[in-house]
Amino acid sequence: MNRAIFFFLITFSFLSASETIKDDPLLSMPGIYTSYKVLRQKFYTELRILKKKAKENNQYFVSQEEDLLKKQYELNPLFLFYLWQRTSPPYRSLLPMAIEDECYFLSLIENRSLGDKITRNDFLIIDEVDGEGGIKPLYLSLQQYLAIRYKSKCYANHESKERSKLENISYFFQQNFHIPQSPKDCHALFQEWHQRKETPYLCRYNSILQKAKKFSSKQSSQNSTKKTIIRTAQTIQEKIDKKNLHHLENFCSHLHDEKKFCQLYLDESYWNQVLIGEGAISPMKNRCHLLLQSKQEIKKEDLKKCKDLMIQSPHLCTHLFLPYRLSLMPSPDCQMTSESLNKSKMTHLPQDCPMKSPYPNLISSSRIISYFSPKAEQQKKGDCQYNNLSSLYHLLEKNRQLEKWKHQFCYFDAIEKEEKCLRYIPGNSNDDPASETRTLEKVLSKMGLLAKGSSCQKINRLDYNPLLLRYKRGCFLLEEQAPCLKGYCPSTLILDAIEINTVKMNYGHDYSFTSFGTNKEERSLFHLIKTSLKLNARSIFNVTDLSNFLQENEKKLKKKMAIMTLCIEDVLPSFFPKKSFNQCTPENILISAIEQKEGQFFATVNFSVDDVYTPRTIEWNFLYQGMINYQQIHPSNQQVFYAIEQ
Amino acid sequence: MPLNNNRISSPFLLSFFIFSLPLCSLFSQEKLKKLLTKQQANKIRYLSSDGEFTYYQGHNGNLVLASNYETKEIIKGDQNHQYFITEESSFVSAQKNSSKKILLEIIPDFYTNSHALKNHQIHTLILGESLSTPLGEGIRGQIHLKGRYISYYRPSEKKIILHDSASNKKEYSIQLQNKINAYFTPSIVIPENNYLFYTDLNEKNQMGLLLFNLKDGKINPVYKTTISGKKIEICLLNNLLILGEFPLPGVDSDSSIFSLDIEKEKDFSLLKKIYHSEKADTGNLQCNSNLKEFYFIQNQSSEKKKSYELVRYDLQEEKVINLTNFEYTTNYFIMDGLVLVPFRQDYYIARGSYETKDISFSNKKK
Repeated sequence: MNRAIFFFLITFSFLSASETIKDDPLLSMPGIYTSYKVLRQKFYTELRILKKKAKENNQYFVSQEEDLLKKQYELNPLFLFYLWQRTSPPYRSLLPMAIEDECYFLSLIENRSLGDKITRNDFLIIDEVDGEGGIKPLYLSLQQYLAIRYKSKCYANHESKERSKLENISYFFQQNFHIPQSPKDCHALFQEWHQRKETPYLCRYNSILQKAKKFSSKQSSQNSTKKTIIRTAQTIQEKIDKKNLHHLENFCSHLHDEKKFCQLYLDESYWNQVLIGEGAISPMKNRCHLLLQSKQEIKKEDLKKCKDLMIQSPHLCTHLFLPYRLSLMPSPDCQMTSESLNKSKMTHLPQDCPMKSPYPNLISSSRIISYFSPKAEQQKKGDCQYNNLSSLYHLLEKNRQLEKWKHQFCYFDAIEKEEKCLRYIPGNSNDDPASETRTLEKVLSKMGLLAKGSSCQKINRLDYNPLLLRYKRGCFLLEEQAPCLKGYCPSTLILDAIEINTVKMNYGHDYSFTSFGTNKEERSLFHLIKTSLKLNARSIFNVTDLSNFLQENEKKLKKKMAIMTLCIEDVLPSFFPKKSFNQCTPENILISAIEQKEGQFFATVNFSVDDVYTPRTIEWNFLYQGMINYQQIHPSNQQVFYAIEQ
Repeated sequence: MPLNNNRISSPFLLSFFIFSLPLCSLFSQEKLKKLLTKQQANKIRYLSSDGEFTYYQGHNGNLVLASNYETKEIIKGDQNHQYFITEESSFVSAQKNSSKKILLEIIPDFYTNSHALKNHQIHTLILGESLSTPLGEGIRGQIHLKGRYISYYRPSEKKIILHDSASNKKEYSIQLQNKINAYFTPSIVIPENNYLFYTDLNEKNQMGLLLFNLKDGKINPVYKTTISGKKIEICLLNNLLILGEFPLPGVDSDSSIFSLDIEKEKDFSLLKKIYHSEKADTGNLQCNSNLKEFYFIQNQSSEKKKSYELVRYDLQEEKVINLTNFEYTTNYFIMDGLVLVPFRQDYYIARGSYETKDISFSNKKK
């Protein structure tokens, strides 16, 4: 062993030079590269001879305990040189510690950190040194070698291995890892982890994952070794929490580069928070699909590429969602969006598209319900239009308050000889019988027009081509490309290529968010939400009150937000200018956070004209002006500004 | 002529502005006259500058005309109704109140079901009269050429509807090309009987100015913004077309205002830049032919503080002059020659004078 390390030290400088030789300007000089090639060829020829000889010697290898104790077993220097050559830069950075600590060196060998680029690295060439100094190279399995070495030393390695086991990783991270908050903090964490005895064991998981990624991306046939690696990688992914996997990957890939390791934690953009597993992925995924023009599932590598794009060219976010924008356009740029998303509490909600159901009262109510609902219920399975209103519909249904819900399919019931109507939730969801297409199927089968088991599909009118065979039969609800500005999305019903006019489609609602005039508070959506979800609500009096409310108990992660009704003309005057006395378009906004900068307060706000993943940061005085103006025109001078929490 | 006439950016004014902010706010609010009316300001929907006519929304949701201490109900409504009244944006003083056309927008289901692009019921009225004439459904109604034309926009169909009251109530319909941005609403001006200018969007969300010939229905694009996400606002100062190009929120770009004498020149490459700012102004450009000036909301934010103020551009002096000092001026509108700025619960008179004639008392004395 000592002999090997000694050889290693001597060759270290040469090796470093040889590894970087290809990038050297000297290479362009005649003769240099040729010499390197000759040297390389010579090396590999010698290695082949050594390997052959070692394999031949194996037949003389005796594994009896008493014989093993009589001899010394060391890594062959030439083979060590080969391993070093096939070691990636992050693991090379661990070698100084290996030189000082033999047990650490063994842990690198054990975890294939040395020679991590070799696919089949389960065998080693070992020199057997007898009592008289005679050297015999042997071709031993890694297990055989480690059994010999660990027989009488390095017991601590067993403990490190135990601590790094898949089932203990969660606890290990909990005890030893935190997200660095400052460059100093990050430097300390990096140094601490770099020195850890567990590092080679932990990084072994990352090596397997990286290899598996490479193998599974290649279409070529996979041998049993590759298949084993892919299977192991799957187990690792199942057993290690995603967040911890992110941290592990970042650490193990940047063992040699502290700056890059810290970059991930000190970059506070929302996009980066997603990459380190701290932010919800959906707001980023949606944007990246459009930015990268990808129709396939967005992978982690795509997210990294997308993050770089958004940081380099923030303007790209302003005009996403083309060819048709389903909310206010332009959106804030990527940087502004990132800052707002970092503070928004709506990032876990499902994607919505307000333009397809442009009812501020219903959109904001639905978002409040989704936010205060358990996490499982937040994840709806439907399209964005379905996500707009489904939470509210089900709450109204549960409380038997659907009478003001005007979205209905009406038909003439031939048996009862009267018109019957069924309410529905606009949008598609295969799992919800109240969704638009499922309700339509019910209506058509009651009319005897649709066979049992047949289904309807809602598609864009532009996609419908009656000449194609797949549209010749079946039920299609054709949605016009135009937005649903009248309060509904105009649709045409086609059954077996014939337009059906006997099903009447009604739209709209009569719900108010809060009370007005003689309309009692008990009949408002806000009252229903408060009582059904058992929320505590109180009026907010000023910005300090709002700030205190949103900041108190912040660490306890208590669900809370503020809601306000205001005139949109006062808050977004560039989009909605005022032209007359007391002109106002009511808008309900949800406030996630407020912070003070240079004496001014800025609130993170979700408007119902924007999709839920596009919050805006608005100066408090604009919000206040909008709220006051709404209060001014309200029949009972009511100010709608509440703090709500669960 | 200097391009940047933004006086507030001069070092002296800037330092004055920064160091005396609290004082300035108080001073400006004192300096700007608060609009004091007989009727509660929050009920008013239209007010003539001499106080003779006030349209207001009653407690029961009806629209009422108050004049000479008499009230007349114009529209019977309920508390779920809302009304907005506008008049010809480019004020012409010669037009007497007695024959002045105003535009009424009625919004039913205001508290239950209203949104930024919901169609309103549009009616016309002669100022002082109580009978309204229904015209159609749309938003952003505008009166042009002393009431000869009335335009409004129908977002659901993306159409500009234009009523010609002179030629046997002829109706024009202009289909917008905008296919990508539902919240876009066009800006419209009619300089003379034969043609109108309006704004539209292309597939890259770039706004353009188009000329529509009322005689043959032909459309010609005349101007386009340099980048997408900028809005064009237009208004008329007699023969002068004022064109503002302002970035919408979220777009990091500069603001410019141009002018063109459209009586003499139709070539928009000859647009003259009369104002430029590196900042994103709010805009909301409106012209006042009577005073030969136009107004817009200017972004006067510094690195440390956000600030927006109403300014006027004086064409004769070729300079921008602050009209407010509220820091958060978001909107203003022109009503019967008064430039009114809503701030907190009040309205402030930025230009013009409001002098009530107590007609009823003088009549009674006589």
